[in-house]
Amino acid sequence: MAERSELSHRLLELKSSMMGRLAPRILSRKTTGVDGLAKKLAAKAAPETDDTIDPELLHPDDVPEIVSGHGVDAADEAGR
Amino acid sequence: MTMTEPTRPASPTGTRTGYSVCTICDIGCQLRTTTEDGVVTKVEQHDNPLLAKNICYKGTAAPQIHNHPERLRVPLKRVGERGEDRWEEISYEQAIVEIAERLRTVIDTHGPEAFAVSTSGWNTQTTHGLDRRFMNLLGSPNWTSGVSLCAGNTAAVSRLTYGWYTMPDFDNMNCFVLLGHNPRKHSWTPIHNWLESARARGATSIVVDPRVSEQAEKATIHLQIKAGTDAALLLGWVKVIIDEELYDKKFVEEWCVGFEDLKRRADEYPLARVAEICGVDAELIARAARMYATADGAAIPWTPITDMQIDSTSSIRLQCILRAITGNLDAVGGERFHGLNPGYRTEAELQLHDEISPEQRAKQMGYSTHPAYTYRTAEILRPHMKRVWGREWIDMVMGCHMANPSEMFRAMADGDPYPIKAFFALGNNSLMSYPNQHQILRAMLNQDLIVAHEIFMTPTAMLADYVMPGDVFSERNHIADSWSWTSNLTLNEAVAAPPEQASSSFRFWTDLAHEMGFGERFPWQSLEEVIDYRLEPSGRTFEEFRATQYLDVQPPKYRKYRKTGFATPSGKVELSCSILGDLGFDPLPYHRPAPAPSPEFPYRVFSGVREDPFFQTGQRNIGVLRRRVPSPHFFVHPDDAAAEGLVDGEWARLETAHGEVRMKVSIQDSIRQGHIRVPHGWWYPETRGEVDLAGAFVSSDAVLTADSDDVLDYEQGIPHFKGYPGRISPCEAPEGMSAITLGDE
Repeated sequence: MAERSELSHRLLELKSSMMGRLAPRILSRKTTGVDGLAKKLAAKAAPETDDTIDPELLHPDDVPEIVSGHGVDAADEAGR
Repeated sequence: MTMTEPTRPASPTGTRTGYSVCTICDIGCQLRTTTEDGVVTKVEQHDNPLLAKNICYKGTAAPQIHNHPERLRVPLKRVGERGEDRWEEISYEQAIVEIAERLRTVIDTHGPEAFAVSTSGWNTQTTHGLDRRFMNLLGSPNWTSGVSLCAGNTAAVSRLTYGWYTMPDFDNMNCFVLLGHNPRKHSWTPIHNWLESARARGATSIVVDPRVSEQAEKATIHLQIKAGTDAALLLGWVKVIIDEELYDKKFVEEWCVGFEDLKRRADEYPLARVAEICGVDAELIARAARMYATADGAAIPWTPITDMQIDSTSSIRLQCILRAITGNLDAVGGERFHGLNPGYRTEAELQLHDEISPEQRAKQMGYSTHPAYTYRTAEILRPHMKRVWGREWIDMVMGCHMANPSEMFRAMADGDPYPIKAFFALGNNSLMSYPNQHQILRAMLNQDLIVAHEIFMTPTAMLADYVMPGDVFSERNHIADSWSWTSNLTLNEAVAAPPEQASSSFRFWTDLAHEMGFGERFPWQSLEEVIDYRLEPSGRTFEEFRATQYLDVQPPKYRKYRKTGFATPSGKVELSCSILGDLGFDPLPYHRPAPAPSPEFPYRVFSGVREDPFFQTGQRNIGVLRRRVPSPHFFVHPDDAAAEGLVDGEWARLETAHGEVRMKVSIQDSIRQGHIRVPHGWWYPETRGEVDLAGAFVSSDAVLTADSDDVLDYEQGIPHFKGYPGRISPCEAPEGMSAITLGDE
């Protein structure tokens, strides 16, 4: 930034600081009282998520693990 | 002898879900891990919507990794020649007793400095500083890590300019600059998500990269520079910003020293010269500089690219300087000094750096030759750190008091300047993780004792005398502090039991200290006691933390320097660095040309590049990840491929003056002509027993790179990975490759 006025600095710092004070409430395990309210507000503000799992995160069940001993032999079996 | 007991989860039967900090890479995403009857069955996204997107497909492969059939479960002792990969199983207790005896012999013969350790911040690692504690109590300064060329060195060099290591204010920035860095959905995932959010808010972005990377495709401005010319580009930015008076004059006047010297240095880099060096249009360079300087809050997130260059120190310092002169330092939307979490003792405090004598510290490799991240600069910064941050020794991203790895391996190989004869690698495939792999092999073959602490057999472990099975994140309790980079504390809960004979790094170092006779300095009986000790200033125990929180975030405070000054000798941002000047280096940043392409080696090779399914040299044995990238590929421009007779998908040989590797070819328009991109860390676990060291010398980029003084960054001693000369030609597939590599599966 070229130069931000002192007032601008302070206003931005106040806003960020207020959000920062909410963060521990949002990230606690408590779900009632102030913490619960903060979580509800955060959930509304958070990017939309649904319950479906991103398919890119899923792995097929039938992929064998890679273990030692299928170097040359396996390649030979594959018709090298 | 009495040994510590491993962590045992409360409910080994039934279903259990806990909060986790993933350590499959070093980012530390927060996830949830579920076990059925003690076996990890599922890793899924966090249940807090703010954290839910921070998950990648490496993380969800944790069940396959933690339950892999070839996971190390019992300590192994070498029975054949070193590197022959023949072993006998022994008990954990026997291993500790024998390792202690042999380490004692090395120290009695050669001195404590003959003992070296290399480790990393992932895999088996949550040391709580106990590795350095062990070494400091013995008197060895020779600890190093992969962070010496990845983030740790940025932390150390940043401290020379303004006494701390910044973290972007991602939630508020309006512009960001990526120097070759390419965070993606499945690599550096939280960073990727932050950048996407910023773009959605309207933030502009500048990407500097020889490739048209995914981030470059989305950039407001893409500067497709020649690899390794970042410092010249940034000097051009500094000149534009000063000439056009786009800097924060008030901040510079009140809080910076050396501005006139910087201006004179920048004058040596007019845009025409910079454009020539970088191979990018001068006006585009100026536009980018203006965009960065005039944004109301801009950040240059950490990049690995400038950590691995011949003028790395200058490149890193130039990023620091730009943050400062544009008024983005510790400002909203700029880059924050998080400071330390007052409720958690730092790793550096547990490391006991006052216990090792100044004479022994001065024996640290690199201390007198390339001191930027060694004890030498940390010692100079001690009073300033104390003044601003309240502690003399602060280690950030593990990188602020390290030994230089190249000098360390040289000492191990040749005894120069003194012999190093015992080497421990913890969670670190050291053979393939630093430059000059041939020298590292010689170094390991010249050791009296090598110990590897790992979850899988690696080429490095194959060279060891003892291989100790480590634990994984689902098997240990932990509170992660992002290595003091941020002040956040993150909960990790043990939900499974480690293998009976495995050890956490806590167990390993504690039991070894007891066996070596200084166990009283390791007074904790369990890992949880260590965490309780670290949490003591907060008034909480681990159990109390766990019951209430999974993430402790400190409210942000900005422009803290107004009360404390900066933790530098002048108390200000040192645009001209007094510490570097006092140590005999150029106090101002500069561009240093890398070795240029020649008729013999006509291409610019850049290596050390990460691929999404893997972290460093890991995970090539995990089926669900390997199937995504079954074999390594050189990325080559179509015109270069045509000129060299290369065929997409066929094998090629890449040669440098230092070594050669073979990979398949991927012809890509996105690469700048004349450049070749080489992925990092390839070996072939499936060929173990059939190909020497499981193919560690077939495709590993560390084979290509030299670490002679002519290619090392002067101040840090870091090698040049981003644009060194090479040539490429078609070749046959290497002998012994598996069907998955060859593409027959």
